Amino acid sequence: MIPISYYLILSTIIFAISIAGIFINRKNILILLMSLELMFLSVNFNLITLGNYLGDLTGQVFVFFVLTVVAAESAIGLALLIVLFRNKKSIDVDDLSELKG
Amino acid sequence: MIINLFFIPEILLSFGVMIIILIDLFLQNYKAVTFKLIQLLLIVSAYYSINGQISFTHESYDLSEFLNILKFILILGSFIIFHYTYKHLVYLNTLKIEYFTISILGLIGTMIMISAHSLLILYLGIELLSLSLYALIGFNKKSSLSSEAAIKYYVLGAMSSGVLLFGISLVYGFTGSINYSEIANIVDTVQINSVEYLGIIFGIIFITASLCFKFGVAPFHMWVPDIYQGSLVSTTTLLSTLPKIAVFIVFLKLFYIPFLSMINVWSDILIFVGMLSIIIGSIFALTQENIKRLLAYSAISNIGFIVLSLGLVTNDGLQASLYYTIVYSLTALASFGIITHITCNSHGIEKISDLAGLSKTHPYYAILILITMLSSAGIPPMIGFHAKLIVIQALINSEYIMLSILVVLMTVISAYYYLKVIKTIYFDNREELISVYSNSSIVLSLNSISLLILGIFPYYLFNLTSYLMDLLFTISI
Repeated sequence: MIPISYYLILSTIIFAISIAGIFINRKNILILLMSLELMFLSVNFNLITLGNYLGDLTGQVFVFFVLTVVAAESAIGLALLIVLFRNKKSIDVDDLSELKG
Repeated sequence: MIINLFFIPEILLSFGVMIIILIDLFLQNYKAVTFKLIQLLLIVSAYYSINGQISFTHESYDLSEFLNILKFILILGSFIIFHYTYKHLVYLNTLKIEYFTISILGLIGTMIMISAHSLLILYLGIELLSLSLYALIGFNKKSSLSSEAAIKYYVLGAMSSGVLLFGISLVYGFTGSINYSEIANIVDTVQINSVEYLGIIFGIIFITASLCFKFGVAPFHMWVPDIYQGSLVSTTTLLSTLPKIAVFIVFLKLFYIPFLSMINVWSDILIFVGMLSIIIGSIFALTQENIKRLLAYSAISNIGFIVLSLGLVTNDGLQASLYYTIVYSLTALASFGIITHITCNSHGIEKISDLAGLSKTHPYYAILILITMLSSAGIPPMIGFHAKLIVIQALINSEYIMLSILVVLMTVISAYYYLKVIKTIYFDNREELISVYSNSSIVLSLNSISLLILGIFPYYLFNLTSYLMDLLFTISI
């Protein structure tokens, strides 16, 4: 049987990768959105693991809520991305530099 | 009971929003009528928020008198914001009823946040608020500034939700519950330096970081000026009041119910973060040319005051933070409200220099700006003075003498840029045309002048906050 710490370490590593993906990525906003999805998946993994370990269903029910909310969130994100592309004709991260002071 | 439950403001507003979406579908040409209906809906739900005789603590949701009064304040605030927004959107020819329905959904989100008694409901409330804010910030579809602001807020906001969820999963895993009261019981008995203790600390730090982001406090403040600048002024007004009040109450409930026995962990974090944002807000605002960015940095430093006094963990500090939150919301409403009313060269006001010569053309509006700016700077007859005074008093009572000296110094520095705005209005001359598109706005006048009146009679607001404090300690805490 695999000890629980392995699961937790794995989910933490995925979480760290997604944060790094958001901050290091200098190319494309789509990659940012993918990193965000990865982050929520790592959280879901964490919740399921801990819920299973504790033996109650709260964690797994929580995951359903997270999945639906994240679906709505990425729908809005893609819509915003389309609006951005219409205005700027590009989705490069570097082009997001009009707002400065 | 079921009939009574229908009149909880959240449920009333949710039903109302759905009906208004349908009405708007059929009455495309009568937007003014639909807007009147929205105002009616807000008034009715404001009435039921303080007169509904329901008060209970369910497993994951609580309705107490304290929260009812705060909901009343939130609804009142959005009523004022809608009033400003309507005129602004009509002026810009972009009036869409969807703007108001999305705002009401955000309002429901804030109410769910403050009423949440479990981490799951808290998350859902925060998400409902954030999703509406993404849409509102990107509302100006034709403007590349607006869409850039929206995508920035989206990426950072979604990341902070992820961080919040990670924190929640840790707290859930190491306490075994997501209910505030149950978490409080387990946190009370956990042994120091055990694995559970460490896990809970990590969870608290993740949750605090994410909420600090939503609040716009210093190390996580980078988004605030950009988003304030990029979105419509009316969205900025909404963004700088409703979420701040709600996140403040969430802070209060989270730290005083589930994590109360972890005082040594979060108290220092809050004091540090609050102080940092006062410093950053005061210093970075000095070089700003854009009035919205200036007000954004001013918001950062004001929120620093709130967080700082919350971190003191004394009765004085709590009351000071409540007082400061109410005063800050009033001031922000007034200052952004005035900006929604003034236009220059048929655009909204962007630069501070756009305001030059306002005292010659519109002396009344110049006086309103004078009052709000003096209040933000903390000059005595205005309410802002009392708010800052109470915070500094609380600091001194907790024997943070050096911190209070630093706070006073930063207040002096920040007075510079508020006075700069006043100087531009009263002493600079300019030929270009400034216009005010509604000559008599009673709400705006009441809002700005209340800063002066409440400042002359500060005890009204003080009595309100001490009443709120009494209520706060009679409920579950």
